[in-house]
Amino acid sequence: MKITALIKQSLKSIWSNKIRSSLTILGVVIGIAAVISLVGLGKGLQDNVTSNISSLGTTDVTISSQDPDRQTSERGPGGGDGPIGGGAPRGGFSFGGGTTATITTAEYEYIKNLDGISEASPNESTQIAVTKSSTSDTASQYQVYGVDSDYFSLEDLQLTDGKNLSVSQIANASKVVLIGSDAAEELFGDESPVGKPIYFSDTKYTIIGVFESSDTSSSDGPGGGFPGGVNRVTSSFVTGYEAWLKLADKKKLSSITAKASSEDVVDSVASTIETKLYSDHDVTEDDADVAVATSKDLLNTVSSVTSGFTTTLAGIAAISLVVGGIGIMNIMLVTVTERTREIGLRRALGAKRRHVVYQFLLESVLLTLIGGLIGVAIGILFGSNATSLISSGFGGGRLAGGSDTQVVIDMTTILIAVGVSCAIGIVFGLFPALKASRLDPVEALRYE
Amino acid sequence: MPASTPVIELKDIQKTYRTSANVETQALKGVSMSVHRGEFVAIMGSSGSGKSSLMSIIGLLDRHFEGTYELDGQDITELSDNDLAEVRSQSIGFIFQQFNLLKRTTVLENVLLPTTYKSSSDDEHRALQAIKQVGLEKYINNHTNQLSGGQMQRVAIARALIMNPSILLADEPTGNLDHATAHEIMELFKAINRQGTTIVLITHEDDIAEYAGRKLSLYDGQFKKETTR
Repeated sequence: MKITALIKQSLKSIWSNKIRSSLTILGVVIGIAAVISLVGLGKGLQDNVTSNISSLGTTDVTISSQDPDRQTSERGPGGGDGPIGGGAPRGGFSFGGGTTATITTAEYEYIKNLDGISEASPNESTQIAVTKSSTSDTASQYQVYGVDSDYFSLEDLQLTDGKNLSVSQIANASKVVLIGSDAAEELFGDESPVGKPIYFSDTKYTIIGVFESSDTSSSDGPGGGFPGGVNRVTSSFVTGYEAWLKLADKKKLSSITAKASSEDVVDSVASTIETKLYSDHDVTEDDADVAVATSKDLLNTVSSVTSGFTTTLAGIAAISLVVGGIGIMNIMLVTVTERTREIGLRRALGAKRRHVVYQFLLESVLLTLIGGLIGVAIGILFGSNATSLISSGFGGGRLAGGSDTQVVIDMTTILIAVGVSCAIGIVFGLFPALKASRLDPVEALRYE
Repeated sequence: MPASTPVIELKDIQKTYRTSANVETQALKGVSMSVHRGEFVAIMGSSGSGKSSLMSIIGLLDRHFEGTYELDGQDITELSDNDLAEVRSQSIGFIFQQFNLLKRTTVLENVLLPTTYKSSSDDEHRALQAIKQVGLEKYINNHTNQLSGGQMQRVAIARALIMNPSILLADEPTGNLDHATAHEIMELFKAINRQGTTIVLITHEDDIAEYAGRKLSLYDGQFKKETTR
């Protein structure tokens, strides 16, 4: 059989019914364009979130308390003790308000001194009423963090005035505190706050330094997972964790942020910490009151969420493809009826049944393939414009800290789309094609 | 009658149709005939005489009949559907009353249509030859809907000739043509027959049947008499 002749004849038949053909393929065009652009959008979102998480560092280890009864299936990303979204620990989205603190300071010391851990700090925070003098009536609520001296480098903060907390100040729970640049401006204006007293629930503390965010491009706090984060670390206070425990009236810690010395040791260090804490607390993975998470865990969780999201979008778009396919089947059935005599003629001229099947399958596949290719083109066009649309739609184009979401349409997506359109042509063209091949040539030739 | 092996040998062909109401109608009641190479045979009969049924059987389009049929010495009752298609493509050239040409397609493309299913390297050459034989060489690249009825039937004849079939099977080829054109077409058939092609013509018109060397009259599913000129 001459396949080129058949292709030519099929194209001619499609072309000779231009309006009908274009209306028919419109369904496929819309379906494929929707799948392409939605999958592209999903992938773009995934890439964005993933790269943002990766940029936070892949050596991070977060140890956090968790409610053993309310345990999630995954090792959840660390949550601070603070309110939702409030100064979330680095690499974590804090939704874990109200969890009982379960990590002792001795355990923290163990983690800090562990081989393979380069930096570590508790990452505690609580809301405290702050006044400038003991007699003042007007107190403002500020977030007060309880940390170790590594905190500032862990969180990409830098001192602009005064000194960092010293080891002895932390150990002795000295009533000294550092103030964030925004808080300093709010409370002291242009004056230097260093050396000035500040009252946390009527307890006098002395300000020893001022810090601000190193990342000047973003006004959000480090790890502040949401655009225009509500509580920025620069409008808060930072004190030693021992002092913080007294201030917050707590005995134990609930969140520790640490950095492994290299990416290679992250997993082993994380599991060492986990083993130690589980045995200390006499728990197993099933009833653990503490969770150790690495950025990799977070990355995996986020990836699975975003890819699920992408799949769902593609699935919804695929419904329109099915509708397009039904349109193809409908029009192919009409074509077969219209061309009954031609089918009879072809059979008389020597066409076997399968030749008739091929001819009509070829025609429906050509229809869906043309539709698919146009759909891919429109999908790409829409996808590249969607980037700017999304940017204006999601608070100035900042999703999870900075970069634009680019719609990603790769070769695989295109090939799959083309493959899917061919498959639709075959699936929905098969029934009309078989119907055509089963026509009795004698009756087909007599068909009026 | 020429003393060669017959191209077509039908023996006691019976064809019964069963309608939906389970009523049986016998269209052919034991038809026997043989056509020899180089013959020009006309099968005559009015509508309902069974000539369409006979034509479908001779053309290998209908294999549900009783009796035996040998084409080129080969018993076709044993052949599968695919084999029959193969034999049709090689041995039978069909010409229909309604021409059955593809629309919006050139003369050449129409003539080449049978080669879609059985191609060889000299398809184009044979197509040009066939077109020349029917006298349409000026219209090779014209679309068929630009042609007159007579020209369209010539295209159909060229299409039937391209595979060099054992027989040309023409079913009322002049039914859609005016008198003058009909006779032109019949002259063409005669010329083709003179070049050696066997022709079986089915018609209900006496003056058309006159062009054939032998006339067979079908009446109520049976041959009435045979006239040889």
